[in-house]
Amino acid sequence: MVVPAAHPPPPAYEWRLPPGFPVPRVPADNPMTTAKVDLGRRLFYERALSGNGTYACASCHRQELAFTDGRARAAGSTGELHPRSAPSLANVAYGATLTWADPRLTRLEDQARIPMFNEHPVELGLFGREDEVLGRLRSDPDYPGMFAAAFPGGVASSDDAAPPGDPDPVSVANVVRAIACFERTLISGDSPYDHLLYKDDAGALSESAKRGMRLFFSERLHCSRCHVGFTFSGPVAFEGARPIAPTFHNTGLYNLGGDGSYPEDNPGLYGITGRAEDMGRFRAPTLRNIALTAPYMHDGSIATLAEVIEHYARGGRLVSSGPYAGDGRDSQRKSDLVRGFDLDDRGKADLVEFLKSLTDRSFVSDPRIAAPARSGAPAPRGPR
Amino acid sequence: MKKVAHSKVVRIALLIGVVFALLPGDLRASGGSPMPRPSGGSSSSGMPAAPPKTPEEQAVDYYNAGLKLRDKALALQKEAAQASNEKDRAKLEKKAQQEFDKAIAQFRKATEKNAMFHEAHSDLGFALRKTGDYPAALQAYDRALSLAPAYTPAVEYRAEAYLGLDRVEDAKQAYMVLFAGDRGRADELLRAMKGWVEERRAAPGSLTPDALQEFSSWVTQREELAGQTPSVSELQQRQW
Ligand code: HEC
Ligand code: HEC
Repeated sequence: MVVPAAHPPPPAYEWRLPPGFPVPRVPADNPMTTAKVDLGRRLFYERALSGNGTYACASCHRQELAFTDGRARAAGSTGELHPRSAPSLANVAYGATLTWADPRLTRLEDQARIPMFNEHPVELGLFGREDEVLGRLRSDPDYPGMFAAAFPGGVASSDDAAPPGDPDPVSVANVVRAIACFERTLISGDSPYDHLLYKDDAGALSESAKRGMRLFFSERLHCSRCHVGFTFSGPVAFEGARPIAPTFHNTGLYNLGGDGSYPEDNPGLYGITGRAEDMGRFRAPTLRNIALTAPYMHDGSIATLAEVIEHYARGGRLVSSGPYAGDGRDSQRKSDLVRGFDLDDRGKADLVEFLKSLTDRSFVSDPRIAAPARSGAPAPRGPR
Repeated sequence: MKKVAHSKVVRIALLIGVVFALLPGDLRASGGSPMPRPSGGSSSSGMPAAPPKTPEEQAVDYYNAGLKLRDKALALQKEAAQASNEKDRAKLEKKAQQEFDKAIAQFRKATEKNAMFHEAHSDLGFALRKTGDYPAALQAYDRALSLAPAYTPAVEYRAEAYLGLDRVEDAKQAYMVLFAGDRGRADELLRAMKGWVEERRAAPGSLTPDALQEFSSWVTQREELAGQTPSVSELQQRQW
């Protein structure tokens, strides 16, 4: 066995975690380093990382929208529509499972390959074009040096399929490693709500938002039973947490044909397990920065927060006509926790106010996670 | 004037004692558990004579002796709280105070032998507080925290000493530190704050009724927020 030249272990990475946030779990084969984070940031905003050179991760995950795209359904580099909407990447380091409904996807390193190489739908459109893209990166004035600094061991992995002894660190495996490291720094915990909670700033929330907070956490509304903890989301994984079974819920958004079915292109967990009870089950997404990430739900089919609350208050959505007609309230697949509740207009407005208090302005304007300036070229605007 | 203040202090000390006696045992002590002696000085059985103990080792011995006395005192206080009549209660409480005094002497010696021993400073503060000597307790906690700023037992118990001196703003600040860093200790402090509010309602201290009311609603609000916010260790164990 050839032992690669010894390199001193990098100094322990210094997380900048908000109060109440545990240390994210990091795969042993991809420890956090500043060099990888810097490279990953550059790659995240890199349009050369798409087949036709027009698209980057950041095209669908825009910082000012808490790393969503503002669309109901994401559109790829060739204009093809994705069946689902781009979720926020805020605190994605803690996701026990990734994407809307896939229990198998637990590592950001694995997830990042999907938009790169997907064919159905095309996102970045790199399928079959690895060499071309890696060639672009190698001929860039900055990348070879950045890859060398981030991966001083050269050939980095067995899944890389690089020829033995090839010292070139510019590889797909290292691209996804670096991007994953950057994604783990997308941490959002500095909203008015956090100021109330950890800085004892009683004025951070309006009286209306405080009433909404009580409703959100109440046993009557149940919101916090599914949108849990410091991420306001489904299951989280972090350093020291025990392994958990992923959880997905059907909130009664659809009830096609009266048997609880969802539209064919978005059956939720059912699409993976094929089990009838998994129809329409999705992961509870984070509610942090939710005021910035409209439209809502896995398919962007609800335009506003007020309408989301109507949906829960009713105990399921009524689609009165068209191909998706059906009353979600009567769905036999719906979660027991979505039972509906009586709430007057003031209560509904209060709940929206509370959700707005989860917006972290410093996260969406933090220059450390914004598009980096390129050497020799003016700083690009985030790709659109 | 002085006398009034003193009797109040004693009454509060008693009340805190009762509150403590009602707490589960593992929450009661200030976090101190017996220390192993620093390595290096121990001798194996075949050796003729043990080398003389270093000051650090002596400090640990004093500290461990102090912990034993402290635990004895806490047990006596618990008994006192359960006593069927006032006379027995007073007697047991007096005994407890004597044990705390002995513990104080041991902890003091520990800190004299090893001035950097933050646990000893902290437990000295704890025992002093239990005898109602809040200013001296504060000094000891301050020393512990200057040596080990992240030592949350001292943060919590110093806050309880602040309460004894009606310094509610300082106690609130300590709560916020604990809420972010050590939720178990934060919850414990919040319980102590509630007990303190009740005590001050019955026997007002230097706070105006309005200020006391304001603090009381602050405690209620923080309790609500804490109830809504699962701690990291709860999330660690959570069944989703
Ligand atoms: C075409 C738009 C588009 C592009 C380009 C894109 N994404 Fe996404 N992203 C999505 C959509 C849509 C989903 C949800 C997928 C699903 O549920 O199947 C998603 C999901 C994710 C998730 C899971 C988030 C979570 O909360 O579980 C991560 C992480 C992610 N993308 C990172 C990336 C990275 C890294 C890149 C670049 C390599 C990228 N995305 C490029 C649209 C896009
Ligand atoms: C049974 C678990 C559950 C409960 C209870 C629940 N949610 Fe959700 N929530 C989900 C799931 C799952 C989704 C995604 C559903 C989908 O896309 O089909 C979601 C989506 C949302 C979204 C849209 C998020 C986005 O990024 O598009 C908002 C806003 C929301 N919930 C708020 C609330 C509020 C407010 C309450 C309380 C009234 C609540 N939720 C109660 C599970 C739940």
